[in-house]
Amino acid sequence: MKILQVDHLSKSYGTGEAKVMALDDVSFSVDKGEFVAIIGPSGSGKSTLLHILGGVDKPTSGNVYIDGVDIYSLNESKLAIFRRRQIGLIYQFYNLIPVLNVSENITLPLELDGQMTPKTRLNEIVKTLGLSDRLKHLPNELSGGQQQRVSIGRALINNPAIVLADEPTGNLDSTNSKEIMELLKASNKKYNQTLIVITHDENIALQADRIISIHDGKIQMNEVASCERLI
Amino acid sequence: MNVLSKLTKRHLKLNKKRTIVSIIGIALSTALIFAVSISVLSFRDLAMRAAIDSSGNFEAKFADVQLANTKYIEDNSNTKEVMYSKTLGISKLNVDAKASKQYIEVTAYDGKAFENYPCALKEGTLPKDSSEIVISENINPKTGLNYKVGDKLTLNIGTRDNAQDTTLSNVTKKIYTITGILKADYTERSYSDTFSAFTYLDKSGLNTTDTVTVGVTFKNLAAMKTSVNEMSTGANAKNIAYNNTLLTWSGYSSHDNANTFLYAIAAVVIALIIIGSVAVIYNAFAISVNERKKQFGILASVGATSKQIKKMVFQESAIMGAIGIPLGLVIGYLGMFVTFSLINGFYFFGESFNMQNANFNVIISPIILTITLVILIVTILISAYIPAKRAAKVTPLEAIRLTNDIKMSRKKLRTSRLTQKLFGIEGIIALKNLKRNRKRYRTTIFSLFISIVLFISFSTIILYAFDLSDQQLGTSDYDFAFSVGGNGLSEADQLDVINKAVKLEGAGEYWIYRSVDAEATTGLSNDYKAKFKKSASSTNTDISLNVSIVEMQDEAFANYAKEVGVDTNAFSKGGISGILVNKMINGNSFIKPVDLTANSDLNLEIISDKQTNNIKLQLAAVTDKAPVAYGYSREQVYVIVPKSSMKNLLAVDNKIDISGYMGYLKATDSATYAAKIEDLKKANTVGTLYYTDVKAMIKSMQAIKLFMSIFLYGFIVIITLIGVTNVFNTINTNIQLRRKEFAMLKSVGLTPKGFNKMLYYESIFYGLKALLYGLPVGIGLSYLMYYIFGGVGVFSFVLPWNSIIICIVAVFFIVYMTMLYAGSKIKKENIMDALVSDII
Ligand SMILES: Nc1ncnc2c1ncn2[C@@H]1O[C@H](COP(=O)(O)OP(=O)(O)O)[C@@H](O)[C@H]1O
Ligand SMILES: [Mg+2]
Repeated sequence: MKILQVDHLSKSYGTGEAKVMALDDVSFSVDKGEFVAIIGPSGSGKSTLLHILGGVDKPTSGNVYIDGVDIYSLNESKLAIFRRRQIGLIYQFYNLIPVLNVSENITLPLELDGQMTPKTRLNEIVKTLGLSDRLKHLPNELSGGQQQRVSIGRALINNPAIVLADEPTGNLDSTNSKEIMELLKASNKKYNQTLIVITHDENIALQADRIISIHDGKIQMNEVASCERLI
Repeated sequence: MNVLSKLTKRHLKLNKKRTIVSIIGIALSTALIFAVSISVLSFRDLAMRAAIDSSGNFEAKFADVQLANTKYIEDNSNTKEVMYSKTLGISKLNVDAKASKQYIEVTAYDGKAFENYPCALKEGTLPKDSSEIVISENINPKTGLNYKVGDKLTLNIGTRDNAQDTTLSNVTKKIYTITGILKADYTERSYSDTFSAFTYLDKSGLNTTDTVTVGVTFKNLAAMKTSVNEMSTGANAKNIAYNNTLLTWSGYSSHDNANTFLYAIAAVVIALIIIGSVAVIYNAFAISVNERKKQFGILASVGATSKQIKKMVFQESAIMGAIGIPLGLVIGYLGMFVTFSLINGFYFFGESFNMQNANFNVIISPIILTITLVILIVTILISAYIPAKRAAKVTPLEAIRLTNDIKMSRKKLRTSRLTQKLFGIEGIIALKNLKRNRKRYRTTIFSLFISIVLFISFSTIILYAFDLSDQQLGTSDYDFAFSVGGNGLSEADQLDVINKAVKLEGAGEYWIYRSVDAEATTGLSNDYKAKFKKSASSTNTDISLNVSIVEMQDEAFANYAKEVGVDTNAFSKGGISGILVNKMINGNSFIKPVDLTANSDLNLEIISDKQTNNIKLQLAAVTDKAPVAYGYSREQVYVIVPKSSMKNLLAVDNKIDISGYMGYLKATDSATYAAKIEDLKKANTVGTLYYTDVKAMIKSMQAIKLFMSIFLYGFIVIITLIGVTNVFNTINTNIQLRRKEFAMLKSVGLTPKGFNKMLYYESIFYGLKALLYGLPVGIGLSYLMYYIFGGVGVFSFVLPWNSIIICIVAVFFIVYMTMLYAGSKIKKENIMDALVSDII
């Protein structure tokens, strides 16, 4: 069953000589519960694609359908509500709110939605993230890995249908990386979430159900992961 | 231009809005300080001109100086100008024996004296030799004589030792030619019995032993005292007079200095402006430096010295000052020019200064220009110095690592569960942001605080200084009041003039009173005794009540008696009887001071030059209805008596002191009546008629009030504008700095509505804080004003509710509008654009 459908998506920056095509006519679809890895050299347009999928950036042309809804046809309020309920976005550089502590940052999407956070849900998440004894800390009191885990917690607290992660392990050591990937995969399995991860790490890419490789804003390869091809 | 200056300029251009707002702040501060200084100088100038108009342009005057000795005055090194005059004496005019002015006084002036003493011509020319004379404009209308320019005037001039003398001594006959008619406003007193006239003083015609009066102006007023001493000793001149009004306004009075008060007010006002300006300008630089910290760090890492970095900040301040200050000077000048032009359009200022040409001139002196410039430059330098020092301290590492200059701690950011419940997550984030940026928000709250305090205390000034005096005038139950003054006028003469006045065209109902003061010690009520004990000085333990026995003319008395409900026959039995108005003001309420009923006797004591008289005054009625023009008093009660009773009272002791007649009148046509009464005043030859036009007085009071209000509120508005520039800069920058945070919140699902809600809460928290400090201080100052204006015990203190409500609304409005404005751009911004931006 298709949950995500991308049609002729393009995104350009600048005009004339300085024009850069960050995405150039990209089309693909993803099934519910699928784990997709996006790979490609730096500057190829991966982050741009992920942001557009997450509803935080606007495409120059083309459409993104999630559960059949053209998300860029929604007005701003509807899109915001859609984001907090359906999408968990993990940025490469965490983007936490500096004045809120760990537990407040994690529960932010629920609070914004006017929901009470079920204690059990929060406990379960912070326990898996290993943040149980850091709940009252402010972001500037945490290490990079811990901050990344908080941002993952924030993305998962709502059980979103789609989890988008932009190099979630890019700034972490290998042990930390492994833990975090396990966590995402576990959530993917447990809740039948769709997981899309940008990565440079071939080990991670190989764990995915499918690999999409991007070059100069175009999809170069879109197929089931296999060792030989990657090498 | 080196690269650092280029960077500074680029930075200013990049932050165009903040640069402009800061320049406006500087310009407004300059304008305000300049305008206050101009007002002080211009007011002083007007007062000095008024003083010169009325008493002449001299500083000291030596009388009875022998001509031979005048060189000690004239040749003193500090002497600027000397003017000679000599009183020649008086001469009897051929006029009716009843006329209030019977004599003409001739004074001789030299050329300088004519220039500097008040001596304005209505027509003709000034005398050029001792055979020519100019005479007062009042002579013809008041005496019925008919002197014209060109006529010969023969006078028998002599002196009298005593103002009461009717014969003159040392009489010499002089024949003058009249060359002009004099405006006599300042040369003759309405109560004196002489008209004024001036001839030319020819010093060559005098003996060296003849005495003259010498007026002097000084080069250096500060050294006046010493110079006067030298002159006085040298010339053997002991009779010295100073032009005190002029000296007072010049700032060199020996005693009580009117300027001190004026300057004190100006100093306080300027201090407030400076505080406001420092807040704005300092804030602007602090923000600017903070934003460029990273840049400074990078510059430092490539070898910029801390001196160079400091210089960049000062350069920024120099650029803003170079634009803002001249702009402010122009605005301040134009502002005062327009204000004065408006004020000059109204006659009442001339009236209150009793001047022909009472126009405010916009006075600028190099001194105030310098002072304004120095104040502003120092303000800007101080404002730039602290941030510049901070900027210079930034190390490269610090700057590059820097994400945010604000140190945060968990403790500082703690919010209560209640806030969470009441305001939701938006409220929590708003409050935490407020707490995080405490220091920076302080300037915003401080700016609002100043405006709130000023607004509330100034509105109180307006309330107490004007509204209350207005109330007293506004309730007047008559339109005109008169009395007649003059030496040795008989009662019949007075009554004659008043009777003429009340029958002029446009007159309506009228009342004529006169009164005798008495005291009562018995028959007093407990209420009065309590009031007396509370207010009496400790030395005076005998309780007494002042009673004014007021005589009313027959017809008016009959009307009044009818209103009160007594038969006038009750008064025809002889003896002394009257109607007691038994009502008195005590604090905010009224009391009945006398504990007697109708048909009982009020025992009174009347002290005359001869003896203390004990009088029994029969009360035909006791009422609480006061007759026209007699409002209730705090000090005394009135007993209204008919003419017959007053006659009987005066028969007891012919030395009893009785007031002159006072007339009160309601006009049917005020304008016509006002013109007629002025004509009568001019033509009146018996004594001097004084009158008050109540309506005109109220009108000019209201006009003054309007202008003072415009002045004060204008001042508040500009101070508030300065504050607003500050609020704007702070809030705008803060929101810009939090661009990335807002984008993050949006990316996890904050809706535009939620965004507005957050700004809304943030404004509320701000406003609340400013009001929390501002309102109590403002109300406290209001109470102080109430105290100063002598309101205590007279009327109760009322909270200035209107101003408080206006304040609350305005504070929230200003803050929220600024937030909304600053937030509007960010709200529309693409999330990713903000997230990848370099700011933070
Ligand atoms: N805000 C922007 N303005 C201009 N160009 C941009 C912007 N964001 C990204 N780009 C350009 O778009 C291209 C793709 O960027 P991005 O999606 O971040 O690449 P990746 O994540 O694959 O490294 C790059 O060439 C980059 O320079
Ligand atoms: Mg990227």
